[in-house]
Amino acid sequence: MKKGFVFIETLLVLAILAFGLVNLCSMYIKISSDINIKKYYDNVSDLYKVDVIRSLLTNKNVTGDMSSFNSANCTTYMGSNCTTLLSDMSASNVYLINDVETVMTSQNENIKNSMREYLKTINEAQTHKTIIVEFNYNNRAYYASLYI
Amino acid sequence: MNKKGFTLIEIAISIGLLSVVMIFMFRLLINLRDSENNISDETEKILTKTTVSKVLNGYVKSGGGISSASCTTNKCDIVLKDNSNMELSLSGSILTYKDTDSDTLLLKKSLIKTDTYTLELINHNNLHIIKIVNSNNPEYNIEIVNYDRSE
Repeated sequence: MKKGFVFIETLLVLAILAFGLVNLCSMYIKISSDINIKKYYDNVSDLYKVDVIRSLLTNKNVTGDMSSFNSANCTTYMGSNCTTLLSDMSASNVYLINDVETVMTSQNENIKNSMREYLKTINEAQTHKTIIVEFNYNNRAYYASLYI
Repeated sequence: MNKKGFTLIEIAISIGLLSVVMIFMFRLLINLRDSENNISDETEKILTKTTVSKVLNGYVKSGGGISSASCTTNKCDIVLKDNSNMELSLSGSILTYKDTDSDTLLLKKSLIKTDTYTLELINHNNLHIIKIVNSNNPEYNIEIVNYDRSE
């Protein structure tokens, strides 16, 4: 004699359906947020700017895992007009990196979270010395990088 | 007593629960459809920005770089290193790039129709940056970047 068994079946079906819908929703939210994030990485104009900065480097040595400079202290790495050049390009920081994976997993507090997120999009399969430039415009950080 | 079928209360509760789930599901589907439209629009805008930037920077690079440039808010006259004279102009949201010597149209692209665009030039210390500025959404600005390395 079955009493209330079908009721439990209905509840189970509803629970499974709701679980599936929640998973679908969370996947879609992740995809749409990824699209938003990719807007700020490796824009064509920014890549051309990185190419200019890369061509003007006079010192490509990396101290430790990462060296960085900005418009205030760039003369060690670039020519004498680097301050104006980096300001005109809205380049807030320039990073020279030996190995992306090491920097990404580093405990160095100077590495911003936004930088770590960008590093995840760079190919780690090969070890290349890399120049990464952080641009700051439209009240946001944009990143672009090239191999040295 | 043989018990076949559902009790009335079981059916009522099942229908009630199903209704609640269906309401949430329809709301989710409507939100997903709106999100999908927004993502399509966003992707289209990003693709336009990327394509135009790639093409214009490519043309400038293949011309050897910018020798000199002068801009108003809707027109830039550019002289490239290979002595070709180019014109970048904005008519509303229509961007055109042409070789004025041969009057050849190299690029004609419709940018975001609902936005306002202007041209700006940064020109010093051998650096030329021509900006196609989207006043409504600056994240869709397009830049032509050139550095004169000849000195």
